[in-house]
Amino acid sequence: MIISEIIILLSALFAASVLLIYVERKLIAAVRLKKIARVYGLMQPIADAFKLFFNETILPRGKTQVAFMLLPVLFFTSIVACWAVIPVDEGVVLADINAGALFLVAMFFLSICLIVVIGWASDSKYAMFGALHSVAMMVAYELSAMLAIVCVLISSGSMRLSDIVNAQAEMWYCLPHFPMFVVFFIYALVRTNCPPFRMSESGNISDGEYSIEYTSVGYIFIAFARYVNMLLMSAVITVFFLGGWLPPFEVELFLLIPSVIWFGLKMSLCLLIFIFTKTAFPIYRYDNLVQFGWKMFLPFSLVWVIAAAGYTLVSATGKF
Amino acid sequence: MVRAVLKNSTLNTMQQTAGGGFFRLVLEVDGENILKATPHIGFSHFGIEKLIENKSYINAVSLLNQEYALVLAIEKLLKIKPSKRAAYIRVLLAELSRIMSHLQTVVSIAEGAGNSTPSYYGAAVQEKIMEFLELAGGSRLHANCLRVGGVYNDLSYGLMEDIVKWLKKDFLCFLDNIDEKLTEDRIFKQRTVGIGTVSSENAIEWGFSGANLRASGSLWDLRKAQPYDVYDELDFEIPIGKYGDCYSRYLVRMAEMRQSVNIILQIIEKIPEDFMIILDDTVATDNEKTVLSHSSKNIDEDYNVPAGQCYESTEAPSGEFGAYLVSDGSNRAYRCKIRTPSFAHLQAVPHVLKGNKIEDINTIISSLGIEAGEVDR
Repeated sequence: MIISEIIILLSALFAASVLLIYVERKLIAAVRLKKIARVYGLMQPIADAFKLFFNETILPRGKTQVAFMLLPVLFFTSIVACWAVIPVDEGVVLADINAGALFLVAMFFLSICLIVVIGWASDSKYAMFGALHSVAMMVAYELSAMLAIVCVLISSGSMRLSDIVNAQAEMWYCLPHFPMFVVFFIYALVRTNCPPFRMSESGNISDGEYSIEYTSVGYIFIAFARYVNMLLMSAVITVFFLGGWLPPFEVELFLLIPSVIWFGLKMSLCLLIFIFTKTAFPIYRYDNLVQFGWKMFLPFSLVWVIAAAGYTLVSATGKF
Repeated sequence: MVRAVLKNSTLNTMQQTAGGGFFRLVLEVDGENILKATPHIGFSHFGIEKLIENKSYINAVSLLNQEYALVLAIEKLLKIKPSKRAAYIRVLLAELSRIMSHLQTVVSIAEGAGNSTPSYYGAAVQEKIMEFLELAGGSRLHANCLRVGGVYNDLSYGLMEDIVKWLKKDFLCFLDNIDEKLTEDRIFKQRTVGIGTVSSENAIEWGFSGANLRASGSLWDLRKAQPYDVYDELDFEIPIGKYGDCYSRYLVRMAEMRQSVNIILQIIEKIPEDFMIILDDTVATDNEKTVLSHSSKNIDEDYNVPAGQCYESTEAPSGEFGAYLVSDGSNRAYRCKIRTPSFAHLQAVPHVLKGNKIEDINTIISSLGIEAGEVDR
């Protein structure tokens, strides 16, 4: 039973990622006045996949070969595993565990750790540089993003993701927690590698970042993990801040639309913003970016957590 | 006990310049900071000087703005001047190429700062300019127009009107767009302001010229300082920067593009209506008073250049482009030395990069307008 559910989830993710790659290409091409290849550009992702499969696999010479081969799979798994706890509709979730938010946070950290190991296993200065960059940057925003999640948990009073969604029936958390919503959104941009909050590819040194040594199937896993990650981050934003599968207003017309569609619409909105940032902005330099995370976001998130906690306490007990 | 020795890492990188050439850049880095940068050149060396020395004068050509200096030098040795209309056409094409080159530099600065969208829009504009050059000279990248003593041919009918229409309508609109989206962009400013600063004194010491020198605050433009062809009859301004950083260099180039538009619009008004593109009497043979330089006879026989030597320089988009010719009276140059601006700019790269972050390499090198092909010759 659970196996078939996992297969359904994986194939849905696969289909969604392929669609996302296609839509992303189309949109970026539209913004950049590029012409699309024949058959509406539909053959392009297939051709890319074909090309990657038949690429020569290049392995590092050192002792890290096994790790080098296994790590992309682990990286991919660490991101796909997050999807187990994401509820797309009332009861439509692989595992509605009572510490879903905690599981997500743990998995986010795990994938960051795996990036460091990928950089090490690639046995190359450039990959190591890229990995250290990426990780330093993600960690700078990770803490503030986790504090943003803490704010949501304080307001909803539960770590179960479906409870968090149901708690937003009156008001989505993006309104009362708007600054935290912004913080978390920027964290999503960092994780999905979208400008302006991404690692700058200075042309040659860090082009391709930590995945620079990967070719063929290893690269397919990492590239796919990136797109699944984009889907994941938009889903997490939807669950935590945009009211999950709930319609925006309790209107008859809105209630007619299946709630899965609402979830999809909210996700697509986030994804669209991710894609458009890719074309619209220059990239912050690494040191500015990290400073921004540590010096501005973290203190602000801390203050907001205390404020949110204080407000919840006062409104619950009625005492000041 | 094993003691770990910490040392700075050395990175070997291939630096691609905006035009497509390469040079190797060996970096010694301490984390993010560049301690030492050593450029290695020679990957796109094709020996243009030797090629010129082994070809007759008429076959020795290079890109339009670069060819210009050579043509001027040969003309000086021959003691001839082009007709007025030909000179105007030359300046028109040179300014169009200047726009193309500056545009390339500007969008690659943006690309270095992480936004590659402008380069796609820039490519569309360049494509249009190339169309104009193709109509004028028959080939796209290298407008094969300049000849000793004039130009290849008169501009085709209606071309000038088209250029004016396009410049006024589309191109200025494009520049405004770039100004709006890029010049005022906070992140772009953060990436370029105060990065790769070259002081005025250093710029002069390192032999800077062109837009890079002007961005450092020196007022020096060969079009004003020693006007060639008809630049002295045209009214234009020389934009200069103040701080000599990447942003200044970007702004100077943006302003120069507007000045180039200004120049072209003036040319269209002032250009005389005579169609004679004629070599001077000293060159034309008796029965051929009106030798067009593309006539087959001219190419077959070629012409001899009086013995002597001269240096002529033009304000190419990236800086002072000079050609030094020694003639021994035959139809080939005895010695040809080409002075390229990028070579002088490249020697400043180790000094400018030192102390900057590795992310800024692309911004700095593209803002200096360095072309590997020009460096290596």
